[in-house]
Amino acid sequence: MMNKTGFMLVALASVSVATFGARERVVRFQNHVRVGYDDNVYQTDDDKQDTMFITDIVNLSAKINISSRTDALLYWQPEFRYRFDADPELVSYQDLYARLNHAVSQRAFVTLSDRFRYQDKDGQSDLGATPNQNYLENELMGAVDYTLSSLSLVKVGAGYELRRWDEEAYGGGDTMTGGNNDYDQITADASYIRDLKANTTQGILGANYVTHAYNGDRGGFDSVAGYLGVDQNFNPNVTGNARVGYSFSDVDTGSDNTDSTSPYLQAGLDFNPTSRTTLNGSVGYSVYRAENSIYNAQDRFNLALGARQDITAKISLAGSMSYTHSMYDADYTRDSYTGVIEDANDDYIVLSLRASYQVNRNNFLEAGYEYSVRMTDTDLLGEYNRNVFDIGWRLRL
Amino acid sequence: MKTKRYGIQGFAAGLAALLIAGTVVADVDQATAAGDLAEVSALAVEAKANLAAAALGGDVDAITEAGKRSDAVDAAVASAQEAYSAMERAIAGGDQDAASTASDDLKAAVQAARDAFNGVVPESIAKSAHDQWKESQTNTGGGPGRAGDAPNIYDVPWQSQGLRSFYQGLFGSFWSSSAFGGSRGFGERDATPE
Repeated sequence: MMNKTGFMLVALASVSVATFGARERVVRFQNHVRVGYDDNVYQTDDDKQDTMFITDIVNLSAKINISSRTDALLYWQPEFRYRFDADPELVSYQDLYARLNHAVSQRAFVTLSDRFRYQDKDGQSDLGATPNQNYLENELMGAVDYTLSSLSLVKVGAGYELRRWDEEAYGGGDTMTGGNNDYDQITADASYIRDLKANTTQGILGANYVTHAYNGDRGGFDSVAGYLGVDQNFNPNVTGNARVGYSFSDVDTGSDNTDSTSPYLQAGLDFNPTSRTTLNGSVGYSVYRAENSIYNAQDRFNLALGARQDITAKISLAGSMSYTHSMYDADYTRDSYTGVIEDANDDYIVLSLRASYQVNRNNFLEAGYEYSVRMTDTDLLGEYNRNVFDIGWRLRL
Repeated sequence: MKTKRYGIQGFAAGLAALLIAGTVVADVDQATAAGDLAEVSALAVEAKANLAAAALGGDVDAITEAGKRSDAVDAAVASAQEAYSAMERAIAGGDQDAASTASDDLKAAVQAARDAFNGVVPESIAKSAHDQWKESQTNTGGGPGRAGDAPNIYDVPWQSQGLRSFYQGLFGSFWSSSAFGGSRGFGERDATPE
């Protein structure tokens, strides 16, 4: 715990030094205070525990122009939630994000980013996993754009993501007892992008590689995908994108390997019918890490929809929906698992709505509702549904 | 007759002045912005006419040059339209900073259109991409999307600029509607019971 606190302090000190050493900077602050009701705080199917809560979410962002060729973005979002009838009563999340852009030359452009999250949330789970659900997650990414001609460029990038659970028996420990959930993941991507029609159509040819390794001898998976893509500006109000390809995966279940192939899909549409309305949505399909201790990979389909409408100059609405369908093949089961081995499907839906009233330049009143539901076709995984209501005050400086 | 015409013109000028006064939010003058938008649109039409004239002339170099200029002017028009829409949104939402930023973007787009029309065309995609990225940093969160949105912390830098902008917008929708601060990936859940 001390190491994590120290890491946070060092990161914040770096943020402060970089911010105040810059040539030009813009610092923005937002604070959200919300009071609400959660009808299933532990996300269980039976014996639901409900609670009132009060939460405070801070957004602190700094945009820094270090030089004419270099800029940086720093972002910190801590969230503190006090739950009146839960154990523990206080939980918190920490998200820290930094991004650096540098134009090396007229042809080369470099981006580096790092995302850090620490979730402090004891007492979350009582099914399968241990009660301690605290974890640390970090994702470091970098990319280089290199211009080949006035019409084309190549992009090459790589990333490294890790997650570490506080609870040794869950994150590390013994595979036989359901542990080894800590993981490391390396991603690499290369693409060739060409303007097919200036400012209207871009064509993309790319390849993506992912290697995911769980702790110890649990295994993981490797995946290689090749794809073709297009980014299209249909008109100033409608843009779209698509990536279509095929992926080849090798799932390592500990001592055995399972090869599989699957489609690779990513597509999105952004539609702004009026200056007051924004609609966007995306679909995707790919091999992804498992979100439990039983399997080592999943084939995942996901759908995300978002909508925003300014009803008047002061009243706005925002809504979103995400649907994730996880397909766990029995062949993806880790070898040391001693229970029933079978295919499993897991559906997860989140629907969120929020209304906001702008009282004056800096203050907003909000009301929100979020519904989430998880459904499975197996006893191996848990089901639940959850409703969260809140009203709040947002301060924007 | 002459007096009557001047009278109508005076009335029109007065009405225009009233309209302008009514649409000024702090430093942002929406009427001037509309005029700027009209100017870049006119430049685009003129650039297209030049391209058509070059095509009729049959000189390959002249056609190429006119085509480049026309494309660059079109790009500037698109930027100007985007900036104007952002400005309208900001004014409607009462966000003075964002309106001012969008107004600056519009002026930059107008200048880019004039430059392109006169033959100063951006040299490379890298420069263009970088400039676009820099311009996109003008709002609160540090990326494309609405003023006040948080930056997309799940941004993938090796994706195309179009895809990154798209996901910034989608992230904004989730961030602004979520009960939990929204700083998790689409569909990502709390650490859950298994």
